Amino acid sequence: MKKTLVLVLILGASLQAGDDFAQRSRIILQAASREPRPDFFTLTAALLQGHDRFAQLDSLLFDQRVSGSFLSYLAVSSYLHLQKILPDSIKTRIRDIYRLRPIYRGDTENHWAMYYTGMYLASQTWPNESGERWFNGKSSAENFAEAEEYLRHWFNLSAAIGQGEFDSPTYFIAFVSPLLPLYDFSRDPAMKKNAENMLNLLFADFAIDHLTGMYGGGHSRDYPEDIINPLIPAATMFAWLYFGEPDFPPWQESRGKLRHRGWETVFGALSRYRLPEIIRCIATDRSQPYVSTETRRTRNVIRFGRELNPPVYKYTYMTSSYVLGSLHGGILQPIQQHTWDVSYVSDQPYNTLFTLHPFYSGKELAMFFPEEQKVLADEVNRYHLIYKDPNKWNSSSPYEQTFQHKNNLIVLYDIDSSAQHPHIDGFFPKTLRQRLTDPSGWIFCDAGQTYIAFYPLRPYEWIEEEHNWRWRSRELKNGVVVHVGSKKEDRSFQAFMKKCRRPPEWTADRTVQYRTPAGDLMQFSFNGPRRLNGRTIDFSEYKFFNSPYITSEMGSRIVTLQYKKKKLVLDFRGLDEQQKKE
Amino acid sequence: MKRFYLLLFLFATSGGWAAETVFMCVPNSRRHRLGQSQNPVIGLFVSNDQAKTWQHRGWQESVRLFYAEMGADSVLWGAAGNGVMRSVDGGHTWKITTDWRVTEVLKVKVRPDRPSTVYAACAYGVFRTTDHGQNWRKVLDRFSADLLIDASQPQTLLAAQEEGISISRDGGDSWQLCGLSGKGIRVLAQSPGADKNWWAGTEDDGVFVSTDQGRTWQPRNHGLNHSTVYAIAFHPTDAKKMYLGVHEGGVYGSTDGGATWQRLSSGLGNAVVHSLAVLPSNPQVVLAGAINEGLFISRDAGATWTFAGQAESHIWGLSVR
Repeated sequence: MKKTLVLVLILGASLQAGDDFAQRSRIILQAASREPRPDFFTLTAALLQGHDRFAQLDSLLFDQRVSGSFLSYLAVSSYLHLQKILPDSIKTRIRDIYRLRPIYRGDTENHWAMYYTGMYLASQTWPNESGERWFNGKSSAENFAEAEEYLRHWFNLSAAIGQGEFDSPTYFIAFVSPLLPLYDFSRDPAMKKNAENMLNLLFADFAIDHLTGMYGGGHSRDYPEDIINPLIPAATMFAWLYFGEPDFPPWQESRGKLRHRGWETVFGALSRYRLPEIIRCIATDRSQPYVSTETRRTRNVIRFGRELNPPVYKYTYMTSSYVLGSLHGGILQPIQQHTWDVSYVSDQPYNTLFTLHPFYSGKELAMFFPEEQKVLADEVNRYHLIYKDPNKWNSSSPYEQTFQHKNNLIVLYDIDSSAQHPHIDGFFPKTLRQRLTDPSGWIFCDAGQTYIAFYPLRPYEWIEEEHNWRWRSRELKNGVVVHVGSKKEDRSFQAFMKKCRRPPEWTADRTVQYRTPAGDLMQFSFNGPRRLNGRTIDFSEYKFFNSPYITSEMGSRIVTLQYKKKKLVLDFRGLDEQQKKE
Repeated sequence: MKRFYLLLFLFATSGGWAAETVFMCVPNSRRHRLGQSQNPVIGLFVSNDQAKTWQHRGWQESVRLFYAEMGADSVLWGAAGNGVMRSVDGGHTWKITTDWRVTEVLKVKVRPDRPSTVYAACAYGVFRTTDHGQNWRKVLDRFSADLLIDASQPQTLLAAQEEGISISRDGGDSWQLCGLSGKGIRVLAQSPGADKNWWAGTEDDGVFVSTDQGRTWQPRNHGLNHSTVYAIAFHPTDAKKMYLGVHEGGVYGSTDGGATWQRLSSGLGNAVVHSLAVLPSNPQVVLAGAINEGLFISRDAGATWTFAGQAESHIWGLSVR
């Protein structure tokens, strides 16, 4: 009887979760179909809802604004979703895109994922056609084989050593959105399974860093607007659809307008892919704090480096109130890197705090892009001024390194005097309830449920801006120490401040020694070892995933998810067998 | 494959090419941007009348075509973001011959004595085909910006890399560092006529010449006040007359084989000149392709220049057949 009751309760809970997903999917389709701006997502949603917007789709097919790898997967995915209701004229027009429009493959991981997913589905949809029927002169069979091989290569690489564009609140959607139609429409069961595994891996990777809709921790790349306001990135839309958080539809949210008003979630709402319940649990159960460490890889370093994909070491500390996360530092990505932050649960926007060195050089760009470094620098001077903006909120820097232990972080800077912007900046939102400068040198922040202690090693100034105070220090050899607490852990802001007041030491050889409130001793110098209670941290011991919920050895291609009694193993080793069979 | 040779035969016997053809590659234009509904045509442009008029060929949107070169068999090859492209009808239609492994291709070079053998320099190394692009194999690792096939010994191949020049004396099977270690090499060229010297343009270190098949390299920077060199071109028969395209300095010329340089930028200003071509049919005509500023032409051996089209575009590659 007991067993039956438990079974009924479990079934009830999963039905509830399924119902919630179905309900959110309906809401997304309705909202997207009302969106006046025509794109492949909104028009797919609208046409399936019975709106007569065929003429808009027809016009869109002539619009050069959608091009390259985006066009590659969008056109065929919409075709496949709509094929039962599309008039022949539009079907022909979509087919002709792959004959007449040269589709630029792009130069990075998300481009290639979109391009090859599109070419896989297109060549599957229009098989047995000769090279004259394809823009690139390759036959259907050639395009299919190339796309299949690339996708398997990408799945293998991502499962073995991680993505180069990992944990990006913006670019996450550029991987998930094409994988959903690949899952739905691939006729090869093996490819369908690969797509499902990859979706599960991507969502699991998001889930472990997820806090109420935010993609926490360090990010390979992101846009400044998303970094300073962590509930507005595109990934939050997927968090709402699949995790059920935040508890409001993000596009209706008044805390900050979604920067990216794309409706990629339409492909999720239409998909037969279902997120395993275990991943939703991992994404949402914050009853116990946990540490998650990961190893990832850089974007392809084509110049000025010994390795194509040097490792990236990532550390995240998650609680129910905040998430503190960091990358180990240095240049890991061009332009858009976000090395560390503490983001916290709040009913206010701009609920994050971080520092950075706004680095910029043509050589950095030439590490990742094939043009000459001076040509790249000139492009930036003409068209991308934000990249060299001394006030930018995203940047990699060779002069920045971190050392994190649980809710404590040391960030050190050793800025070359020739650097273009010889200062470091910190983002302190105006939405903090309080920001106090203590005689001990600590800056204490009350963010509601979360408390932040911030210790600058060198003098600084405050600059007032629209949404924030900019903390700026012009000292070249510099750093900050951060400790984060919460009402749950510390009872009150006063109690939190009291326990934090002991300042860190900065020794003559520029080693920071910080005794955390919990009693751990952290020691760190720029380019020096990271020591915790006398033991040197060895990054080579970092696994692909290591947390209470997700574990995986580097290179194993087996990712194990564990939540209470639930277990899910994502096994990518079958890709070898698939390739052998060909 | 049969179809490939049939098309090639038909093209070659249907009038083929003018006595002199110039290929101009425009991978990008300021006016051609993602998110714009109306973009100008970019890609490949061809001129058969000493650069007086140009015809666009092939794709009108970007696959980022950086360079095009025609082999002795009239097959046209393109180095592009999407890979190595091949056309057997003069650029009207193309086939991308490479797969996902070959991307961001900056230069393609056809062996003069064996046009089925083609080399491609790209962000991830040097690739080679010996069968007209049916199969490609990586023969050199690491970023490579340019290639030079020695005109006298086509088995000898130089690659411009970020840490110096690599050389292969067996058609790409094996490689070794040849010189200018630690320097970023941007362009390689060989002087015409009897001397057949090798030249290298660098990032920040000017130009170097080797007169002994790469055993030694000497700087040739007297009078050269702009030290980043992207393009090198020669008078077709007089190796003492040569030109350099430099970063933010326009064009430099030499009439003494590079012993001294004079700036030839009247009308060019401080353009970033990325490509150069001297027309064999009239060596007084010199073309300079600039980044962001389009094409310039001189009809007096570089003394004066006039704008010749493609405003606000990158003219990445120029070649003459």
